[in-house]
Order: sequence, then C-alpha cells, then structure tokens
Amino acid sequence: MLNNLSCYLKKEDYRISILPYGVHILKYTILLDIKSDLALLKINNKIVKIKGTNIHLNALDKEELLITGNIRSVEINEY
Amino acid sequence: MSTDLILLSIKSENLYQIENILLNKKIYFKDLNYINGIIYFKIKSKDYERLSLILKDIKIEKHYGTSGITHFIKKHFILILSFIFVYILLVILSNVIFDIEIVTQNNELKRIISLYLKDENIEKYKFVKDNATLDKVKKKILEENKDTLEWIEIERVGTKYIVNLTERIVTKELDDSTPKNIVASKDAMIMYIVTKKGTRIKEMNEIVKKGEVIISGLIKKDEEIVEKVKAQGEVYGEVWYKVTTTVPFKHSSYEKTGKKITHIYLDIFGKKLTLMGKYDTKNSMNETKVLIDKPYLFFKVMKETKSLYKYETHNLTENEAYIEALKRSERSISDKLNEEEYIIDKKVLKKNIYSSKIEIEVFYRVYESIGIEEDIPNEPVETLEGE
Repeated sequence: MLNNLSCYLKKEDYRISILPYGVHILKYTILLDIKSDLALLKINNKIVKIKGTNIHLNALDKEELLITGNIRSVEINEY
Repeated sequence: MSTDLILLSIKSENLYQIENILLNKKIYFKDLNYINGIIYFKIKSKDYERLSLILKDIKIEKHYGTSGITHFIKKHFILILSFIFVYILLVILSNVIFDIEIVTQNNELKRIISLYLKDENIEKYKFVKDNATLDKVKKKILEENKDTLEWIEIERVGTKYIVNLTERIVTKELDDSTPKNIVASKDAMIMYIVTKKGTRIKEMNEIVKKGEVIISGLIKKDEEIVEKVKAQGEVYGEVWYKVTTTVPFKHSSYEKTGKKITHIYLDIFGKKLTLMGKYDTKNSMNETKVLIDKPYLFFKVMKETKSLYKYETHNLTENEAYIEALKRSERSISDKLNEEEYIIDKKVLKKNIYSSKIEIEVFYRVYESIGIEEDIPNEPVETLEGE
C-alpha cells in the first residue's frame, strides 16, 4: 500500500510489480485481452504481454489490476 | 476501492467470460477466485444492480462496510429492536423504587419520616433519586428533627430503599438525692471501708453476703429512723473466684500478612464481573466500596480491598498448654479489674490432662470494690418533734 502511495506521490507513469503469485500493475491505460495463457494490456504507448498458464484477473480497479496464475514472462514493447 | 463491498458467487466454468463481462461493463472487482466450480469475487455494492441484469443466477454471499451494517440491521431488525426495547425496559425498571422500608419500632417516627419522603417524591413506583438529592433529604430530616433523631441513612438495595435511623435518647439527669444504701455486690471479706455519708453497718474483716447492707442510708437515733440519705463511701473486700480454663494442644491462629489486594468488579444485579485483581481466598478480611453507582446504569463499579491473613496451626506441649491455660485463666480475672484492684493470691486446684486438651481449675483471692448503691425499701420515717 505504501509502495502504491509512493507511486502516486512521485508521479510515476506506471509500475509493474512481479510478485510470487502474479503481476501487479499500477496506472494501466486499458486491458486489451485476457486468456488462460496471455494477458494483453496497454500502458501509455507501450504494449505489455504477460504470458504463462492459468492466467486470470484477480482484481480490477480504475488504475490498478492484479493478474494471477503461473507467470512465465512479461514483455514490454513500445510502438 | 471503497469498503462498501459485497461478495458475490456464481456457478460457472468459464472464468474468462465473467472477467470479460466485468471488464466490458467497467465493473471494478477484487479477490476473484474459482473454487469447486463456483466463482467468487467482490464488487462495489452500487454496481450490483447493473451486474445482476446481465448475470441472472448471481448470489450475494456477504456484505462488507456500511452496506454490511445496513444489511445486518435490515435482516435482524426485529431482534435489534427487541433488544433495545428490553434494555430500555430493564434500565427503567431497575431505576424504579418498588418498596420503602423504614427500620424503626417507633410508629410515630415512621409516619413522620414517610411524610418527609413523600414530600421529596421518594415513593413507591417512582424513579430513584441521585445521591445528592438523598443527602439533601437526609440533612433536611435531621435538621428538622434534631430532638428526636440522632442519625439517618437511606440505603438503596436493588429496587428498594431501606431507611435506617437512630433515635435520640434524651437522658434525664437522675435525682442525686434519692436515698440509697451501699450493699455488697458479691460475697466477700471487707478489707477497706470509708464512710462519707450514712451509717456504717459492717466492719473491717467482717464477711458479707451478696446484697447485705454495708453502709446504710438510714440515719437512726435511739433505734428510730430520723432521716433517709444517699449513703456514700468506699468498700473494698477480698473476693473469691474459681476459674476453669481449657486449652487444646492443637489450635489455629490468624495473623495479618500486611498484603492487600484490590479487586475491581462490576456488580450486575448481584453478579460479580471482575475487571481487575480477582483473587480467591478464604483467609482475608474484605472491605467493599462503591466507585460508580448511577441511576441510568444497570451496573455498579465496586472496589473490594482484601487484607490477607496467614492461617497457622500450633501444636503445644503439655507444659506449654499448662502455662497458656494459667495465662488465660489469670487474664479472665485481671481484665475485669481496675487500677486499684489486684489479685492477692492464686492456687491451682485441679489439673486434668486429656488426649487433646488440658483443663485447669484455679482459685483466686482478689482485692476489689464490692460496694454498690441500692434503693432503700420504703419504711416510714419518724421525725422527732422539738429538735
């Protein structure tokens, strides 16, 4: 919670935290797609690909989401 | 996310379908879990209506935050209302006086006190008064009945007022000039006699029986009574006592340890609910004080101070028991004597030793005052003419 707060206070663009049980993302733009092996989301001008198995969305809020499952990779591509 | 949440459940195998619905409808959620074919997740309670239009078989499992409280109150409304009603009723009933008892044999005083109480609205089926009002009433009653009342206390015991009082006893000064004799208070041999007023009947070393006149209040001339006075004088004699004392070889004693324990508890209709310092013991002297006693509270806060005692068992030898018995025997006599009186001599008459105790019989010769005043029986007084 303190980390989240510092993110807002420091006016960071976004934050992706890899946790033992999933990925926590702050300040995302839009969640494009979610399937059992892939979650696709947009953050500003970046596309974030989260690959793995049994992936699903555990929590969703306006600027925050939590993706859980067996995460294999997180890719950030600029376009 | 706000705390005003609800936990929902839906029977579905397709987790992603639910996630997509929530995403598309922009219904924010958290703690989405899939357990045994049922999907659980939390959403804001305001989004529930929107979601229930899409997912028909959705079920509310639990409410959180203010929505939880509102839901609980709605669900248990009758129970909560009855509880509040019963509580209010209990508070009201426990603050109503159902009986007033005035502890005195004097019916007139009882009537006067009850009139005072009535004036101050202290009556049956009326609300109890606070301590300040009771103090005022007590002060008023005492001030206005100075001649008849010594002390008054109004004590509240549950829903009853007990009025304890002490009547003022006005002692009339006794007429000091009533004719009296000085008689022997017990069988004795006179050892000292001084006559200040009256006629001396008995002399030194003379043996007197209980009730015999020693100094008479009758002044006689030629065997005829000429005046009746209050006889005055001092008479001391040798008095005899036989004292039997028994001391067990084994006895118990209580001794103060100096340790004190403070026990603070709630008194709820006679039941004790400890707040701090509970200590169960039989070897203590307890002193209880009321800390908080308000008419609008159904409980009282009490403070109990326990002074602890040490309990000891003593085993005496035959000789120790004999000395102890002698001491006790002598104390039983000397406790009754004043500074001028003393034990002349003593002698042990009997000494019986049993399996568990010793018994002794002691004979005492005691120097003590034996003269007491007694009214003179009525007899005609013949006055001498021409004197």
